[in-house]
Amino acid sequence: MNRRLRDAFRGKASTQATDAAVSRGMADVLAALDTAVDDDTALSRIYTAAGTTVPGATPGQAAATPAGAPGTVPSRRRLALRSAAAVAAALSAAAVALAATGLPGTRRGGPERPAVNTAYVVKRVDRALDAAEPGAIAQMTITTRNTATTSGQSVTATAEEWSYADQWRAVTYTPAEHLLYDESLSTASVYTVVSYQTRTWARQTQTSSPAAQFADRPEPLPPRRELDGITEREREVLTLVGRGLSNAEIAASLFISAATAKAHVARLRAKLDARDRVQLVIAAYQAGLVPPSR
Amino acid sequence: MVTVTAGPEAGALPAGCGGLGEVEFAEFFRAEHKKLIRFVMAIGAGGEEAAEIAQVTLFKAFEGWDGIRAPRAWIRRVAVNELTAARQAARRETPAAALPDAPVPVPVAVAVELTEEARQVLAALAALPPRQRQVMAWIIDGFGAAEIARELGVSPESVRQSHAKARKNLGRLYARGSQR
Repeated sequence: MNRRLRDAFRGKASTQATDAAVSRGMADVLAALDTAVDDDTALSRIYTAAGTTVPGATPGQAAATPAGAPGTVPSRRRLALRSAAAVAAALSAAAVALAATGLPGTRRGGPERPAVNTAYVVKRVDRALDAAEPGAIAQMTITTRNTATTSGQSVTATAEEWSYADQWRAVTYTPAEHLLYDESLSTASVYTVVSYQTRTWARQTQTSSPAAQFADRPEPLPPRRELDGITEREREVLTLVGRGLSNAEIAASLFISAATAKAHVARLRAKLDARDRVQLVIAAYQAGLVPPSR
Repeated sequence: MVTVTAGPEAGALPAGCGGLGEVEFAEFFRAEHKKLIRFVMAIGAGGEEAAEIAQVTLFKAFEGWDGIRAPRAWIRRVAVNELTAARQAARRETPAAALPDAPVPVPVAVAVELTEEARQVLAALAALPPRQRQVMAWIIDGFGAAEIARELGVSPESVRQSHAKARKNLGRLYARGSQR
């Protein structure tokens, strides 16, 4: 009895220790996010994305944004936002003028807050540079707005600066960056950064001539095997089986338990009359679920 | 278990009061943005992916703000759906035979530097079965069993059971982790 009690207590103590460890670890995650994520920038991205299409919700919008070129920027960003989850940030870095949107709630402090946190933009550039490969192709677009007076109402010109370089490091020395740093400009006219994008691509190692492309073209595929009576979910599982994943790996990537993955595979085997996993893989290839090359 | 009721419960403002709703949204955003990223990370996404999911989710919340009654629960439910959808979309993409005309963009990394403890917790959570992991993620964010049950469409009792199992499993995972 005594022993059982003690064991019970020990069990309780260890769950409490686990709880404490979890809450400490999760607090750490939050602290790390605090330094890595800028709420204001993320919020302004949402305002910009919604700005063009939410009618009536943005009373200050019409006055601050003239019709024409600047209007296209939010819609492009909106597209990027929409597909962001799937494409993993095609336009990954963006800092958008808070003041330009004219929305309430975008600023809290005094009215003279700079339109764009330039320090943040520079930080994002640095990060982009660090993340990219040395030989990568880079493209950076910075849209600036030249405001004649400090009233914030009159917008005189919008300029887009493009830079294109095949060395990442070169990007840091484009005129656009001078624009970010140059504070002497603010005396005559105020440049505010309206939007900012960087894109990087891994360098294409081989230049492919048309002939080489022709030679690379795959042979016409044999007729596909029909998969009768297979559900959509089973088709997904079959695709993963065809890529050589284990049941546990399939479970992880489909957010299901290992037992469920196993059940799917067993059902597939029965439906496709496959003796073993190898025959399932063959079926996946014959059905065209997995491309033959690569 | 502390049940935190969301601040902007009165989100259903008349259409004319868009301004007030936006102030409200901004406050909600500041309070929840990072927590939502952490929630998605607890569910099993990396830092960059979680930030993207949170962005998309909060954008949807902004669009439908007036109709959302319990925004804290709403964004978490939607974020889980977004994550699942993103994973499925990524899986359906078939690799192209040749390089496309436009080169594929490389995402810029969000530098989330995690402490050892944070990494351990996330790894332990990732090793849990999906349902237990999900329940843990909700509980970490301060939701009660009844609320979680409503959001996940199961009974409160099974939420409590999943939680108990998750704690037990986490304890085991920690024991194993510290031995290594």
